[in-house]
Amino acid sequence: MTVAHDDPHVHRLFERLALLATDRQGDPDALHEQLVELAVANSPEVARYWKQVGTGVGVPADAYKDGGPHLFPDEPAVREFRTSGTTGAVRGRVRYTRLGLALKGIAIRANARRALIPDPVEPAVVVFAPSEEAAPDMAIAFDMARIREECGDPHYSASVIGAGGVDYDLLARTLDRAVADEVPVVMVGASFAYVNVCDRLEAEGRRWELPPGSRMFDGGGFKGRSRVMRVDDLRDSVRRVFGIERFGNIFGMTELANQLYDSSDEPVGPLGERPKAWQHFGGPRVRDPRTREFVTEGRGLLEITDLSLLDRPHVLLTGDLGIAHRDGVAIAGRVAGSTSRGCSLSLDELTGGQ
Amino acid sequence: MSVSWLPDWVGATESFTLSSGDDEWPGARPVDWALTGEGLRRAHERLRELPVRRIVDVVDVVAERWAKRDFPLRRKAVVDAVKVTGMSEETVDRALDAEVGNLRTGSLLAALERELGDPEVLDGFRGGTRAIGPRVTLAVFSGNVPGLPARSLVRALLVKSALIAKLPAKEPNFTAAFLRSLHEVEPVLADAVVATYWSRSDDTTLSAALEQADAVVAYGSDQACAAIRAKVAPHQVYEEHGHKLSFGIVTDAYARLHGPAEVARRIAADCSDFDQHACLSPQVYLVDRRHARAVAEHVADAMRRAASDCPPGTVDEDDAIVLQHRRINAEWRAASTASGEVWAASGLEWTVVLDDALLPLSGAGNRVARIVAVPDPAAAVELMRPYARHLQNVGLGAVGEEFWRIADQLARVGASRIAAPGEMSRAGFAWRHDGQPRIAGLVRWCDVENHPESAATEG
Repeated sequence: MTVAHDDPHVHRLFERLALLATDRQGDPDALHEQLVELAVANSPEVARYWKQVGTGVGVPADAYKDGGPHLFPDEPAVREFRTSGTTGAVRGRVRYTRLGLALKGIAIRANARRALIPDPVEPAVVVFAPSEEAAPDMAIAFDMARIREECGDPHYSASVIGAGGVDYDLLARTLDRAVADEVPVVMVGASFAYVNVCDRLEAEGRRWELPPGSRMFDGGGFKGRSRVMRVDDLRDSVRRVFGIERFGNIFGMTELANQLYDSSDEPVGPLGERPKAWQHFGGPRVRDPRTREFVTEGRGLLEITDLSLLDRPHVLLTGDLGIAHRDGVAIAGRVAGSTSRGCSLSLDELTGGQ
Repeated sequence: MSVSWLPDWVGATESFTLSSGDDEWPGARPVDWALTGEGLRRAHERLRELPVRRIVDVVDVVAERWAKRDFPLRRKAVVDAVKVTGMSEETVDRALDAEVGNLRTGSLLAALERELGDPEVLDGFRGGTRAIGPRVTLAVFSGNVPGLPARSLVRALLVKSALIAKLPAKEPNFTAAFLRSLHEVEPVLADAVVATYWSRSDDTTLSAALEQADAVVAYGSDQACAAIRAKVAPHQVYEEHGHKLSFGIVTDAYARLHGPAEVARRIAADCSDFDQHACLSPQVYLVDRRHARAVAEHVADAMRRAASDCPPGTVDEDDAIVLQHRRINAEWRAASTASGEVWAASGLEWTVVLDDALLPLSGAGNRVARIVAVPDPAAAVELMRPYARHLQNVGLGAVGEEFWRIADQLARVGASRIAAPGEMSRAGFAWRHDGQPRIAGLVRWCDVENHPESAATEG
C-alpha cells in the first residue's frame, strides 16, 4: 500500500527528519528504518532491487538517468533539477516535492550554519555559481542560495556569476566593500569556477587581502573538465589572489539533500581530497568492491546515506570512488567506465558511458 | 630469466626492470639503434637464404615443443604470465594452446597458400612473380592475451623479415622464452629478432627503433596505435590492430536445434575464455527473445561450471570497482524493468545479465555474459551497426540458409570473422586478422611482364 505525500504519516516523518537535521534530535536508526519502509511501500522497483541486493543498499545514481525511483510520483514536483551529466550526454532529472524541497533547504541551512561559519559573525557570502533565478534547474544554485540566506549578511553578499559568466565588477565591488568594513568573506562555489577566476585575476595582477576569518569552500571537483587540479594547488591559487587562509570542500549532488563538509584537513585522496565524516544525518561510507561489505579502510564504491531525503530512496551509490579513512571518506572522482586491455574495448568506451 | 631476447651480435645495452606486485623481471635493450638496425639487416640477409619450407619446418618443431604443457620453457612462461596477468594457470595454458597450436606446418602452409598462392614466391621467381618481405619489421605488442605476439612474430619470419618486437609490459615473458627455443632449433631465425621493452612514454626509443623498420605492426588501444601511426613514414608498410569489439548472435532456429543448455554452454565458453580479455571475446550475446530467458538461466550454470573447469583470474582492485559498479547498475536495471535479471557468483568470478536493451551496459571483461533479447536476427545486426568501425568477431548461432544470409549482412556491416558460438576465441592462423591479409600485407611483389624470358618460363 503506497503512502501519499499528504498522508499524516509523511508529515510526521518530515517533522522528525527536520528535527534531526536542525537539532540532531531523534534516533537515526529508527528514521532509517522508516525511510526504508516508505521506499519499499511506494516503489515496487526499489522493493525488487533490495530483495535482490539486500535491503538498504544504495540505489545507483545512474538510475536517475532513466528517471529513477520517485517515492511520490503522483505528487506534483515543485522543482525539477537536472543532473550534470558528466559521464556522457545523458542528463538525468530529479524531482522534488513540496516537503522534499523544504527538507533539503532545512538540511543545507543547518549544515552551513555548523560547518561554514563557526565564528559568531555574519560574513559576506560570495557565491561562484549562478543565482537561483538564473538557473532554476541547477541544484547547486538552490544550495548556494540557501547558504547565502542562512549565513550571509545580505548587505555584503552577492552571487557573482551572471548570464555572461563571472561578473568581475560585481566581484570587485563586493570584495572591496567587505575589506573596507572588515567583514570576513565566505566564498562558496564550483571548484572549476575558482580556477578560471584566479587565472584571470592573477593575469591581470589583481589581488585582495580579505579580512581575517575569511574562508573558501569549493564543490564539484573537476569531473568532465579538461584540467584537473590538486586540492592544495587550487587553495594556493585562491590564497595568492584573495589572501584567504582557511579552506574546505563541499560534496553535494543533485540527487541528495545534505551536503558533506570536510571532517579533517588531512589529504587522503590522490589529488589531496579531504575526508568527510559520518554524522547524525548519515553521510559517506565505502563498500568493498568484491563483497559489498562496508570497509573502514581502503578504496571502494561510495555510498551516501541521507536522512533528509524524502522524495527518493535515502541511500545512494553515487558512482564515485570512495577512500575510507580514520577521519571519514575521501571522495576521489568517478568510477571509470572500464579499464581498457590492449585491443579489447568495451562498448561503453565507444558510447561515453551512456 | 631476462624478459628480453637479444642475439649475441647486439652491442652495448642498457638494463630495465619490469615488475608486477613483488615480482621483478630484468631485461636489456640496445643502446645504439642505428647499429642494431645494421645488425638486423645482416641477420635478414642470412634469413633470406633459408627456403620458406625450412622456416615453416623450424616453427613447426618449436610449436610442437611448446604444444606440450610440461615443456619446461612453457611451464616457466606460464608461471610468469600468471604472476603478471593475474590469470589462472589453466587460463594461460589454454591461451597458449590456442596461439601455439596455430603454428603447425598445416596451418602455416595453409595461410601462406591462401595469401600468396605459391609460398615459394618468397624464395625466388615462380610463374614470373616474386614476393619480397621487409628487411626489418617493428611490432609493438599488447599483453591482453598470453602468447598473442607469436602470431605476428611468425608472420614476419615467414616472409623472411628481421624483427624488433616491443614487449608488452602486461605479459612480457612469453616472447623471449619462445625465441630461446627457436634459437635451439635454428639460430638464423632467432638471431634476426630483437625483443625488448621501452616505456610507452619513451618517444625517443620508439622513434629510433621505428627508423630501422620497413614495416610496422601495432597492437593496442586506438590511442596507443594513433601515437605510433603518427610516426610512420610514407615508405613504411603499416598494420594496425586497434580497439575491437565482438558480439554473439543466437537465432530461434539455432536455439531450437541445440537447446538452451547447449547454447548456454557455448556462450559461457566464449565469455569465459581468456577471462574475456581478448578482443575476440563477445561483449554481448544477442539472443532471440523467445529463448533469451531460458538461455540466460542456463548460462548462469554454465558460467559456474566453466569457472570450476578453468578458474577465473584475480581481478585487481581497479577492475573490481568497475565490475561491482556495473553489476549494481545491472541489478538496478533488472529490478526496474519487467524482463531483466542478474545472476552472479558470490564473488566477482562471473556475472550473467539478462536485459532487453543493448545500452546501458554492464559488461567489459572478467567473465560478464550479457544476454540481450532481440526480436529477430535483423534487429541484432542493426544493433551492431553503430559499432561497425570497431566490429571484429561474431559468434553466429544460425542454421543453413539463414546462417549465410546473416553472415553476409555482418560481413557488409564490418565483421572480419564469423565463428560458431563456443569457438569465438580460437582464431586460426589463416584468418585474415582484422580483415586484411597479414602475410601478403607485409610483402612487395615483383612481376616479370612482357618479356620473352617470362613467356619461355610460362611455356
